[in-house]
Amino acid sequence: MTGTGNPLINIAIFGAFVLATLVVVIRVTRNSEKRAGSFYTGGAAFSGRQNGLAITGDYLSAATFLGVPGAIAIYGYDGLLYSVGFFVALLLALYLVAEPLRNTGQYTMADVLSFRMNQRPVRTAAALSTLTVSFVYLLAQMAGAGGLVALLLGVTDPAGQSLVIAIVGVVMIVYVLIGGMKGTTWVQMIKATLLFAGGAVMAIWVMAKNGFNLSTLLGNAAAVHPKGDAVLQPMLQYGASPITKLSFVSLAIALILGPSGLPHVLMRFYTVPTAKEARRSAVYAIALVGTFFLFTLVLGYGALQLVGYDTILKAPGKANSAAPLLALNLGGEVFMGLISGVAFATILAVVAGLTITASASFAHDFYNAVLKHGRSDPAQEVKVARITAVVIGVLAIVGGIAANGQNIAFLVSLAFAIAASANLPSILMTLYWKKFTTRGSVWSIYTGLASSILLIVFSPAISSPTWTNPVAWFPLTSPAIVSIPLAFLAGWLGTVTSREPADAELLAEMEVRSMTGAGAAEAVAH
Amino acid sequence: MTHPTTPPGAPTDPPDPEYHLPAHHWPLPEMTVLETHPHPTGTLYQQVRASADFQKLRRAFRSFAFPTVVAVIVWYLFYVIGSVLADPGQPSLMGTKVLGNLTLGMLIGLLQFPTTWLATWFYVRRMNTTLDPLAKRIREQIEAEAKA
Repeated sequence: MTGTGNPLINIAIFGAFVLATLVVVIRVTRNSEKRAGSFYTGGAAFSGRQNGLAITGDYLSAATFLGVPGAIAIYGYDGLLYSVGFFVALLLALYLVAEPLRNTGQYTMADVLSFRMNQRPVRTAAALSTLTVSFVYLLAQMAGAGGLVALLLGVTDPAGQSLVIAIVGVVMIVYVLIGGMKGTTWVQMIKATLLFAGGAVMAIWVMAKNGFNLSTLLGNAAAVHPKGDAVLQPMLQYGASPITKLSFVSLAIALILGPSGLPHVLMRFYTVPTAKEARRSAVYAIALVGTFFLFTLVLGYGALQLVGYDTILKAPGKANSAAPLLALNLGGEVFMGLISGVAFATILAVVAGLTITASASFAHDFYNAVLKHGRSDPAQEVKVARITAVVIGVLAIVGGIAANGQNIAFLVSLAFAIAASANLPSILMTLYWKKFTTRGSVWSIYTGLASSILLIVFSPAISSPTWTNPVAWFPLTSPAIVSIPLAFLAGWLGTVTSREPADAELLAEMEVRSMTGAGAAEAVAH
Repeated sequence: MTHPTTPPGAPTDPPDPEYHLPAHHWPLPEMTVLETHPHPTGTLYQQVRASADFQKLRRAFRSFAFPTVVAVIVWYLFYVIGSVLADPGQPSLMGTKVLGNLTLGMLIGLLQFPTTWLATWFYVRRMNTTLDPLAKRIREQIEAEAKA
């Protein structure tokens, strides 16, 4: 069975999703003020519960819904790592960054990084790293859209897929220009609800077919895998050599540290009014995301059991089509159309969130703080942000067409590795190491950014698809295990060689504000 | 800030709430002049940072948050390192079936979910009961100082 559902039903459902979300975006933004705050953070007016749902939406991207069940269906145990690492990462975000960020910043990650430093060098570095991470993540989502559409609409020729990627890009630009952060957040909330419900229905359905016994499901799934029981045991994917095993560890580190450095996730903590609401939103997100990742385990092994190993690998989207094919197997064409519509909405919403983050960072951190020395008027800044959004949208369309056919989970893991290397060390040292200086921060960001990108370029993942090719002189597929320590080291080195010590007044202000929330209202009102 | 300047008895639109008061009560004194956003100064923050209350708050946060984060990362790395000790196709500790077809490694992976939820609950409880009241007291102190 290689059927991919009924393309007409799928197109109709996709269209309905796009229309419905556009109506929502227009409705929720009709009466809102045209201010920088409303464009970037929806006026910081979302409740913790709403924002928790939106974080869940940002977190459960195409890679999660399509990539993770696919990885579990093909590699079993090794695919589960994505779920565990990505989930535990949220806890670190809650413990170490969510509340301090809300208390000390206003719109972007750079607000916190530059709080007690020289504004221009730190903001420039942070904006560059935000744009890089967001763009790589964006490419992954666009490539995902191409693959999904290939599977669902029966569009197999490259020109048709490119057209669909272009449509995704245009719809995303429209969301962002009309809705800003408020509209995008609402789309995220709707999509998270639908995705969660869809995942739950499918997981319960799979469990019902196995007598609600996880062991039975695992046994039935292993029975149809060509490697049998090995799919329940570690190292089916990463066990080839000590080098591949080290890649697994490196990937695990990127997964757990990356999310706390992902600018579009961090920006979510600014869409609530107080640190307490930021805490609440992280808690909601942890509850929902964790439950969803438990579903992905069932979906992955369920797809293996019910759809079959060969069918998944022969489908147009390969492993990424495991979840939609499972939906087809369970509920037929209409159900598959609905699930795929949800996946499509997921891509649109995540892509819109990424675009807002990147354009906000460019306008707020680079245009205003660096080019205009912090003196541009907010209207001008928002205008720049909107133009940037269009530029990023166009670049994402071009890049997405170029990246079409690449493995989504791989592209996302690269974004994670870059975020974990370029952003997280600097964020942690800014918040928790009092001696940290401007030079340390700038060195840490550029070292993390450059080392992670270079190591990716020279890794087997890019240089060659095989382990034996000598062109790939860096042998690991994930750079995190090297680039994160390097970024910390550079931060330390930059700090101890600084001519001027850390600013004691600003350090005191940042520490007191981040821990008590004093002056946070001021930050909102600016 | 705009206090009615019209004499008592004069009809205003909308009707002034002080309209019905006897003339010698008018005008009523301003209750408080609230600055909407107090602007604390850098030196005040330095004083606060050095204060016993703030040091206590900082210690209270770090003494529970840092150990928990370390414990969570160790527990996660235990799962990751344990997994790479196995070889494909060979019997291994993490590949041992413990509950039906569920292997020990998968069980440890799945156990990361309840432990993460537990750590979340622990964080919220600690923040709500211990740290929030302390932080609130310091915040109010800062806002009062800044106003004075």
